[in-house]
Amino acid sequence: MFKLLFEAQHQAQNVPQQSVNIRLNGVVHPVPKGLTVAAALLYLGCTASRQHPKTKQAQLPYCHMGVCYACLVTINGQTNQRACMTIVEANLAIDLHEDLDFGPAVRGRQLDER
Amino acid sequence: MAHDYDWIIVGGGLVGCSVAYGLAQQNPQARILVLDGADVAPRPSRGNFGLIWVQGKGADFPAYANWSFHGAQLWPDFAHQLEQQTQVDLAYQCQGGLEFAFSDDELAALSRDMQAVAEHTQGRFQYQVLDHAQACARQPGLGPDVAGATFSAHDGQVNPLYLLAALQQAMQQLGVTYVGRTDVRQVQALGEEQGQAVEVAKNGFRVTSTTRSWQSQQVVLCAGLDNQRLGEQLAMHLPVSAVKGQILITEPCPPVFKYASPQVRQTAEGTLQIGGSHEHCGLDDASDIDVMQKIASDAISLFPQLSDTQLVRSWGALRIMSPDGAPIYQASKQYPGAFGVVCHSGVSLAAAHAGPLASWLSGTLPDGQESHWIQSFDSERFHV
Amino acid sequence: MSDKQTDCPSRGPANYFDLVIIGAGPAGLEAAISASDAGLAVLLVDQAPLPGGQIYRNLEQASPAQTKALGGSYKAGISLLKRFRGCQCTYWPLSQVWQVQRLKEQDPNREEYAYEIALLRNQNSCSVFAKQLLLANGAMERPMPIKGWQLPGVMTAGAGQILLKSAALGPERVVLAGSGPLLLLLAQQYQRAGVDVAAILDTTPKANYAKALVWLWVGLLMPKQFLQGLWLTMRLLFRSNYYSAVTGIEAFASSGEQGQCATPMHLAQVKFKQTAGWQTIDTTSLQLHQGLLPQTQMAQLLGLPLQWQAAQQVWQVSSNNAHAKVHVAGDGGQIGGAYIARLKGRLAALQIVQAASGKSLKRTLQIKCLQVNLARLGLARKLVDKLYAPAPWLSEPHATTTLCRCEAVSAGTIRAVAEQGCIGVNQMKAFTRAGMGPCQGRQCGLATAQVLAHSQGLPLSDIEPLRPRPPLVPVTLGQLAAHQRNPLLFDCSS
Repeated sequence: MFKLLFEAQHQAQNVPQQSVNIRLNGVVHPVPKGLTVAAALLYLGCTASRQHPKTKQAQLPYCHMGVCYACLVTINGQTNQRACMTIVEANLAIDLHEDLDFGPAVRGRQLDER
Repeated sequence: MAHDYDWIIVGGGLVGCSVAYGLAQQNPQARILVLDGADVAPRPSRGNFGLIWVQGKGADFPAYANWSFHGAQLWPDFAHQLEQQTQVDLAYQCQGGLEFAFSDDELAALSRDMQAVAEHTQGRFQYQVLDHAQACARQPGLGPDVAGATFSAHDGQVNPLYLLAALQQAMQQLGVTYVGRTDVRQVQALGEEQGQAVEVAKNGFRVTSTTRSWQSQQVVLCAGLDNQRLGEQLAMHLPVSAVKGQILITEPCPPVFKYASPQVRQTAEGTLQIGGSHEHCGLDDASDIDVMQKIASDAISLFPQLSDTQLVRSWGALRIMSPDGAPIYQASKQYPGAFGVVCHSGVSLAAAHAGPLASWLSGTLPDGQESHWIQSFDSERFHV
Repeated sequence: MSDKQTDCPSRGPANYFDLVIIGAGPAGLEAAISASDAGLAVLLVDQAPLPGGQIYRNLEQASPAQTKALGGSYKAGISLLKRFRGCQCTYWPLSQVWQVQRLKEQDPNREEYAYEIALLRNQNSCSVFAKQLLLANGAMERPMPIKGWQLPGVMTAGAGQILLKSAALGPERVVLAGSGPLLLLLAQQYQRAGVDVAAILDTTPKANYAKALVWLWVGLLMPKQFLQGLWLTMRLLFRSNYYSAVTGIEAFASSGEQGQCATPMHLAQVKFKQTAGWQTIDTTSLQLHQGLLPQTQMAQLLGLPLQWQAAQQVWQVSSNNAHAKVHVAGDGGQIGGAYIARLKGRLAALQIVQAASGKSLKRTLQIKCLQVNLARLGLARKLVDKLYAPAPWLSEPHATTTLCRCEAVSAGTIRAVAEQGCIGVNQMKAFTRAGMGPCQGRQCGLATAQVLAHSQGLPLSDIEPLRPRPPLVPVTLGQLAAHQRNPLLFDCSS
């Protein structure tokens, strides 16, 4: 649902796309460097990042600037971190709730796991 | 009768609303008005910790020990009735309370207070003194610096905000009129402005705000910090001072702590509420970095596992303190029909205020233990 | 300019500054440059990894293609950022302020340092102290509560722009809904970037155009921006998928059902209403915009008064701010946009320097010039404010619409409690939990106040806003317990 824009232009201008390996529920995925964790989840095609603690409804990040707290995920073992306020780095581990169905696109990639 | 109301209660916090609710229940025909202040006024009722606390209260004041104990006994029926009437879940529970000590001296001091309360209540108040190992057995996760704790099964907890909401809802259901955003400037006995000797039992009172006034047969001052000023207008000595307490609230956590405690409690939402400071800084109720730091540090000494728990907000609230910390229940001698109520334990004593205190105000409380206790809280005790 | 704190014995120990600026957006950057050029010891703290705030987010690292698509309003920040990098200001990125207060007890040796700012940096909590403080912490999107606004796939237009700027990410296909210049700008930026803008649902009421006509003349005060805006607006009218005067918007997970099942649901459809009736658009991406709100929490914590601004329907920091040492600039005080923010940043810096170093004729003249300029621009801003005043239907949400996202409190609940005479939004928070969740009322405070006011027949100017509670961002108890105030032990940079 989200796509990387200007990629064609990047490639055309020979700017190497830098990527970094992060883990989503234990599975390794390369994502472009410099993204927030929230952006990375969208890049990976997640259709949910969290279950609302009261309504149990699925949620994705909403404001991407740290003021709505809809993007809370577990990062490197710390619970309830704002995904939009954290920049990805090598080996960063995101743990989405095991009951959360966060998207066929991402689960599909698990089959391709190295 | 020309009065607008039979009763005017000045103050719409926990004390004022408990009293109004009680009066309305006991006197279904009475016309009652509650006047409440502004949303951003200091609202101690919204800063309450939420304990129904018995242990240690009145260690040096037997009537207070008994009144507190009695108040806790009245709570279960009070909660049940209020919940039935309003469908508000008060999250009331009585699983006992722990007060933690960080040194043997502290523990010894707490024990002495427990013993005094037990004596004052003829052994009805029961407690245990726990050393470190015993405290850990009862409550896992305690830090090594905890010397011990006192435990009493009589202590409980409730959601103080929902309590206030339920009282306001129930009292209005019973016909009480509630008017908020009112700044009461003056209360006076009717007829007094003419300078005559007044028979106020017939004439009643006028309560005046910045915009209008109301008249009633009787008036009860439950206005917290404003009670001293208003009390003087009706020849009542209601000494109050503000003692600030700061509280920290964490994110929701898995259940770790089921007891009531003035140091920490876990709310029904799972958040941990951590207290508490006692500061004298006038009317400033803001949070301070250094006090927040100390509270956090103490919390980690108590439960080291809380180190990684996130703090979501903090606040300060001003306790309504009488000179000895016990309530003041005052009937004006010069102006019968005028009363003053000062109390910083608006939650612990909510049931007592809605029950026997309301009866006392109505003049229907029979002679006995309850009336004896209430009369012990006359402000005469400060004139020594 | 250095990233490390400079220990300057003549200026006080490491965490003491003449001026601390919170926020590295246009206002903060201009102020940092002006104040440090004038010789003050300045610290600029900001939560992002790079300077620029939201409007110039990631500008220093954006690719040429990105910058081109985002357009002139983005590029305008390049020279500002260059000047900032060349100035002598201490700059702490990735630092989050969680409390600001006046010092209770001042160190007799450092009496002039009256303000303490607590912040989180590199997972450590520490304090910095300032003689003067400039709040330039910017604005946030006005929340737009509609049915289904919490569904995955719904986000703010501001979020869409942030993803464009900072991640070069965009939806394959998007519906934009709401009102305001940012929405129209984003539509243009998306089109240039190759995103399919399936529809623009414009909620600007027809009546606003008539009211704004009277103010059309102020366009002459800002001719370039006025013509650009006009051009953008005109182009819209020729789009086939531009819908005007929309009076209802609802988001659904699938064929009209919100559903109660626990399986995750994603946005699938948007329904919208015009006078002719309801229509449906299939989409998995909806972006909402309804103007901006100043983030006033820090100002409130310091006791600065707020005033209700009826034109924009926001609380803003009052212009009558008698505070000598706490200044506010940019959209964090009053919404005015980037250009006004930059001038206000410069103005604040001049006033701060005057207070620190005494008055000079040159600075006094510069201040006067800026004030005249700002008055002109403020007048021009009125056109935008009148035109894009939020539609009334947005402040009368359906009873089942969620107002408090964090605690799942509906508009119906708020109304019911308001009808019992609830005295304000702070009491409402106590009685319903609206405002108690992680976002601490940022997304629901205004809507709650509007529902309360309408329910009780009161003007918004009679309602006091939600009282902010520190910490402004989550801090762990461990971080708080280890909070560092003593400059001798101070080393947050490790």
